[in-house]
Amino acid sequence: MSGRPVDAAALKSVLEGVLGPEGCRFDPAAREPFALDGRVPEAVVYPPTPERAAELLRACGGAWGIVPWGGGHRAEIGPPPTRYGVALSLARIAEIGEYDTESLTLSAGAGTTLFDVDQRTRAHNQMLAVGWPWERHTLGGLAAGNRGTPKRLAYGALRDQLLGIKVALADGSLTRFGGKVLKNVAGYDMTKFFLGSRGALGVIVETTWKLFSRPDHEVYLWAAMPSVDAAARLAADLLRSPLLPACVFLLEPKAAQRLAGLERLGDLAGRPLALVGFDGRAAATRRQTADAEALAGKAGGEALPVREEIGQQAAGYLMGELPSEEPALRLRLGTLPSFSGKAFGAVRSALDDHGCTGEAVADYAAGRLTLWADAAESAPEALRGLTETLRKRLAPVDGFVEVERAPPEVKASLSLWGDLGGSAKLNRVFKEKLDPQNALAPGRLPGVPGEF
Amino acid sequence: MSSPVPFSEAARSRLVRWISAIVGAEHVQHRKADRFVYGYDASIFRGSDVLAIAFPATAEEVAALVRLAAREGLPFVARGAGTGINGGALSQEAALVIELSRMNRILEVDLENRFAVVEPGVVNQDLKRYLQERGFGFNFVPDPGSQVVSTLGGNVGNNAGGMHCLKYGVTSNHIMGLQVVLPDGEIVEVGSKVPDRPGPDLTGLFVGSEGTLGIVTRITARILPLPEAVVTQLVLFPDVNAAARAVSGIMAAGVLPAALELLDRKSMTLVDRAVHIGYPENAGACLIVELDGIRDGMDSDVRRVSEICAAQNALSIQTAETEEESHRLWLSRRAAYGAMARVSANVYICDGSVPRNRLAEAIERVVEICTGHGLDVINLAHAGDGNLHPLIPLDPNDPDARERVIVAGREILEMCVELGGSITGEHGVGVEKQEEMALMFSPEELGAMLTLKFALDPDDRCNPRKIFPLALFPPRTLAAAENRLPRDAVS
Repeated sequence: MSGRPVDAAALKSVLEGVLGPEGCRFDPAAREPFALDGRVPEAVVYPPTPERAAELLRACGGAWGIVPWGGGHRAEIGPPPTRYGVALSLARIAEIGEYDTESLTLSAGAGTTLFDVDQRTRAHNQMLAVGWPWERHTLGGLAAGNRGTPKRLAYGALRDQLLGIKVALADGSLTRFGGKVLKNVAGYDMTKFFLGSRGALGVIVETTWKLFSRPDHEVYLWAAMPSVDAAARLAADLLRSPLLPACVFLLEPKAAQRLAGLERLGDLAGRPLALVGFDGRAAATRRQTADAEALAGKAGGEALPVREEIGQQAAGYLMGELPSEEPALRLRLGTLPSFSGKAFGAVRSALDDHGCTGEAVADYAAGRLTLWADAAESAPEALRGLTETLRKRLAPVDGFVEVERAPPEVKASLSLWGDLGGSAKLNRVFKEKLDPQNALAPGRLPGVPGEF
Repeated sequence: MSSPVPFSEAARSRLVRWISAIVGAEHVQHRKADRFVYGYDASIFRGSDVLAIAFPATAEEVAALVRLAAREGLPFVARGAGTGINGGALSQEAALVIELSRMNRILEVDLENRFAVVEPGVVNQDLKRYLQERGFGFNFVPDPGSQVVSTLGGNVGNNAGGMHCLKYGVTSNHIMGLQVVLPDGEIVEVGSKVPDRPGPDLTGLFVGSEGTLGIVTRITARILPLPEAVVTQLVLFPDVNAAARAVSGIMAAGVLPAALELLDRKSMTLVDRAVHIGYPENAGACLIVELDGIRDGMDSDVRRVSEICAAQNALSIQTAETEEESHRLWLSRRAAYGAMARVSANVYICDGSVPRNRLAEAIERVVEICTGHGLDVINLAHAGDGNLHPLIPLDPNDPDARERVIVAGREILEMCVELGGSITGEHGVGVEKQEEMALMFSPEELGAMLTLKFALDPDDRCNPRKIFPLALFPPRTLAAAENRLPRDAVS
């Protein structure tokens, strides 16, 4: 339940006044899927256009907490909203609008899935290079969450690919920033400002992206290494070399077990893996694969090329798509890439110290480790202790730990983000001005309390 | 210089004493001759008289100066090398200038993690040279035309571009974190060496904010390995349309050049007179194409580019075989601004951007607009990203010509917006285009940006009256208003 009693009749009247009964659902069966840590909204709404979404915000006037929803993938990240009157689904704002195949730009509604974008762009041998085309990932969710992309080495991070954004603000204004051109420095870069804002500074209703031509070849290489440190050193050597890997992932043995096709590694299957991808022309990928194999060999590893699907599956795993049920805790660790080997070591010792089990994978270039962990009976003290110990161990390199998934009692008992420094003050200052009623995803913007 | 400063010499002396207590007396300038210089930058605009110029050495000194300004209710303007051409570094009212040239240290270079930490007064080219001279094999990629003198702080402030934005992006794509002194004097860090911190991309917000949200005192910049191979081609076409079609063809073929620069016939003629390239008479446009990356397979991309250009009736295609040849081909482009000096000592440089596939149309309309106003124009363009640079010779002593240039400039920007582009691709807004912001943004959109501005700077003292239409700023006191320079005045 949301924090304050909700006048259900007033809420219904306002919502249906804007969207009609056909755009609103109040029955429990419709609302339950939008629960966040046990908090269920009073209503779910489906505006059909950005204009109606803005109108809805205006009509609500800050009276109820509103949480925007894309495909629901990773919606659990962040604290539960302190007020949760309305789940605002972007599912109906899912049209691909302007797709300029010559300029390589695409604009689409926030509810558009990566799958739909992939289907459309593939026909022109183009692609949105933000991840694999999973059906639940929406463009709006991608932008609001800003959780990274698997091939940032080749194509940049989300901040480098998002060109424009349309946002419905808390006061009901519908605003557009950025656009279709690659170079645009007019005014403040609001496109980047709303990136990662988690639905709490405005509701993203449309995004415009930079596209790329599909590479002629996508090849992957597995390097089974003698240790995680060796795998990290291989990654460092690759990034210091003139080679241009599209991605470098590190998987400790337990995590690597999940990859299909692992049996091809035979006796090497129990070793830490570095998974390296190269995109490009045949001659370039062939030579780079050969060079990467040689580097792996020098570092005591053994390399095997793998099929594209396995590489994609691994990248999916790294972006949080576990093939089976998730353990109780999922942490996102941020560190310097060069600290990745030590970070794995810190994870192992912290798991042992707190009586937890877990597995970790890393996107080396992003300095991101994802850790799935649990304790006996998901004991909150153990999971909390694990998180806080890892924060201390990453502090010397200015690293951070974000709690992405945890039992509610763990989430309630510690900071999900750690020390945000000056960003917390800035987030709060901007939130107070843009959303003075704290209606949009209250409590879910890093560093900003749920009540002002 | 504009109307007299309503700031008594006694008040100025008192201010200078306070500033001296922070930075040392030897690091304050306040005499009339010193202040005069800071009424100028590289733009065609002129600033108001300033109160004094302070040269801090540390973020703490910058913060102390900002707190002093807050206490006394004074506006302040951060200044790098003053190479910006939008007038953004000029004070439009009596303000304290915080000049960052003393903060010029390269603090840290980390090749393994691909970043360098620098102070804002480091010159762009000096960082490149530092990396090159030590044989690190890395580079800081953003290369605005002013790179030999512009500072990283200024590059961050204006989100500077350059010739390699098509493949590598603008300055913002290379900034991982910033230390900023906010208008209340607090020092904060946004972003960091560790990517993807939770929450909004505040680093992205501050980059390109033109010093209106705070003063950047430290920059964590991304550095990238030098490419293994670089190939430069210079292609001559019968006209701009053919060159523009070739640009589209190259991109559609899946080739992503590091740079794609276009010159029109007039610019080629000017450059030829200056550096004797030897362009044939029938060449109406020139494209410089630079490819970089892995050596293997690059020859097929080079061939593909040549085929595409030939299909658009290219008159000739030269491919550099050596670094020296590459420099010679690039001279065609790099000499263009300097070559303009042979035509006119003053040039108005426009800076709009359009979708790439509208580039030829945009250039044609630029010529029509300028011709309609009796103006000459030469056209350069970062063709790959649709960023136009019409160069209009300007006689600053002819008020009529000056007015026609300003009107033509506005019409060019209107055209860019009409074609789906932007009023500024890389030079920023400053004072030059602040009224044209209304071409691109609705009142609600301007309001949202100003909400952020006034959240941090409620009294608009941090590089005041910049970026946004003047009517949107709260009225000043009479004394300050008397001191304001009309935005389109040149001297």
